[in-house]
Amino acid sequence: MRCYAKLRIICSLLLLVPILQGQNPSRAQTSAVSRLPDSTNSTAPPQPAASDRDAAAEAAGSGKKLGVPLPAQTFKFEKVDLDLLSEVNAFDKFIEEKGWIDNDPEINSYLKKIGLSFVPKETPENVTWSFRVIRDLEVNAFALPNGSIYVNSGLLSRMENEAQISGVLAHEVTHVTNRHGYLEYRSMRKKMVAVDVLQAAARVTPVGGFVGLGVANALGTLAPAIVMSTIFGYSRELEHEADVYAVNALYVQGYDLRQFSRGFELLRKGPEVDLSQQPVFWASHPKLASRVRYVAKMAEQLQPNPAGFRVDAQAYQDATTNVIRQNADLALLLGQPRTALAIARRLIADEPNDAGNFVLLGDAYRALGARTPSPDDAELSEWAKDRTRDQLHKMTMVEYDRMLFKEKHGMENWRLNSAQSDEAFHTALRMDPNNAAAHRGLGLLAERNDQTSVAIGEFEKYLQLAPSARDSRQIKLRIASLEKQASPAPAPAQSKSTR
Amino acid sequence: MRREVLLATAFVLTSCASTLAQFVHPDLKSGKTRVHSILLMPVQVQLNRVGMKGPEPMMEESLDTERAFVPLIVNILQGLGYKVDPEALAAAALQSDTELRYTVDELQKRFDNELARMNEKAKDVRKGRFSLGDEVANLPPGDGVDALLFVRISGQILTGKRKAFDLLVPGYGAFDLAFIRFGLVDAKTGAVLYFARPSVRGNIADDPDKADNAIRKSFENLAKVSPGAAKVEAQK
Repeated sequence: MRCYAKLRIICSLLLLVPILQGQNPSRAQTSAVSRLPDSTNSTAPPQPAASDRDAAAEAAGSGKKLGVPLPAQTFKFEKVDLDLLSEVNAFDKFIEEKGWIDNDPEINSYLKKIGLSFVPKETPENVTWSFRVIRDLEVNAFALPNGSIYVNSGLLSRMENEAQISGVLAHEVTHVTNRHGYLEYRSMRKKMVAVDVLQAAARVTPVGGFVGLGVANALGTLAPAIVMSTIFGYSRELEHEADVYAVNALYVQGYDLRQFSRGFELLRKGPEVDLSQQPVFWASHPKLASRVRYVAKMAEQLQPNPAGFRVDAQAYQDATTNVIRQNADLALLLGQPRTALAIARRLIADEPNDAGNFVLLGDAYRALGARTPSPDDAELSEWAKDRTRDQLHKMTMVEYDRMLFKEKHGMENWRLNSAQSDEAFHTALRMDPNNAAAHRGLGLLAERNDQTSVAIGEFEKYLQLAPSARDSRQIKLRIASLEKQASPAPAPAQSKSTR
Repeated sequence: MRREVLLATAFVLTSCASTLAQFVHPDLKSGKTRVHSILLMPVQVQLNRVGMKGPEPMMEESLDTERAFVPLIVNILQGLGYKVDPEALAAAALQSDTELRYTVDELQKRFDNELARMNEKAKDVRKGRFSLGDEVANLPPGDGVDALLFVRISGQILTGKRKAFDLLVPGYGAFDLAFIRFGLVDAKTGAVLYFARPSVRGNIADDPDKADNAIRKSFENLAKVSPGAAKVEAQK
């Protein structure tokens, strides 16, 4: 048996040797990228200065973008790349079949219009451009090597204007044109072999004990390569290259470059406590702070006087309002009321006379329960985050909500939120007395405050105003349940002993 | 040495059979809630091909397996007397109705949220701890059915080289494996009434019928607690 254990260790080590000695094939491909000037340390302009915008446009159109290297033109497809291409095509189909895509034609055509303004004139081999929205609260966007670019509704909800979303799209377009997906995948496959061998080594090495198993389990939870590289972000060099391209492309299109770094800032500061342990790239990449700095620096150098450059906030607002509203509904359903509240406040700021926005505000305040409207300092400490993660891991959403009520200030927070919610619904009714959703909201609020008869009355008004509402069955069931609670319990039958 | 041989034999014998664990809500067990008709939510399958270069998702095979599992599950349920409409949430129905598609997607996300906790503390299904909320009642085809059935399948298909490598390293199972999760949810209240998690050894992408036995056992046990409408009629 001892000989067998030795044999296993030797096998593992033999498999490790070529990995430790071998050259990463993707290095040759990315060598051009590594020659990029490091604009974070350099005092010189980050890119060779373009003499004028026409020259820059010409450069962008021909693929020679202000000094950005051109690995895409020299890229030769190998079998492994074609395998990846077939995988991502299947992934595309998968997303479509799952129904995750937002069908709103307005937002999809808006993104397509912006996205296509950043693609090179000549479509690269094996690329078909598409720009679509995924209904997902995660603040993220990603590009597949086949030219499919996806933007999550969570990211759209966080951005403020067209200049910011254009930066995201230009960045993602670069990942496709410069073949970052293929380069990263080649590199990743090498690393995956190492990971597997390390897992094996951790299991057979006696000193590892339980620690060894822990390491193996942690490594074993790694997502598939394609998901890692496209969704969780590429290497620093490739992301830097995409940023450089995006800044130049935005400049060529006449966008205000400061909005690109402003977009990063918005992504960093979300309304919820960030509990993710493996954050996705656009949400809270560890290097995001340094990216904000170097992008801002590049913007200053390219646009010393940004007045007159495009921001296009109104066009963005018009195209995204529906998606953002749907995102708020999704946030309410999946237990992220602070996200819903932030969206409601934003929609009210944009359209203060829309009763629907106040209904959303009321729903968000009600869903907050015993939470504060924004995270307090205590919640943001690492200790508190660990505790919350643990609680959310163990508790259901209902249990977690109940627990918050028992915490210090829980009831006080609820009283404040309840009052705000009530006020918001009544504001909506002042704007539109026949607003069915406001009555529904008041009913749910009264139900939560144990005001049974008020709740029944409001629910009935809701059903009168919107008899064929999507949730009419749910509300009818609620009324039935409340009436059952309200009706006096039948007198217990007398027991034999008391008779 | 002899003890190790015995342990190895026991491991091989136990790993040959599919395993099953199931948990029943107290209301279903006591008969307070009855399930006669079931609405099958779109089946979700995630298969990975595990080779020497790491795991790779098998997207197309996953979609094919999803399609193959629908008739398999429906036939077994109908055989046990349950009323099941396989077309209500079929791909064609969802494609033509965006609102329905969004509602289904939201419920699937809600189930996945609960599933993470159910996997940790499956026994708590017996305490009636898990619920998707009464939003489930908003699902239009859910009107008139007793329960919604959520199905999740995850599996690994090993390549030949990987199987050979795994044979050298104990702790790695050198075989294809699939984990199935069935969650039966009350169509009105959203309470999780029944949770079963059978596992199947074998390549279910090539041969979905390999899972037939595990699925059948899962629902036979459900039928013991709450028989399908047809069985109830027959008994009358």
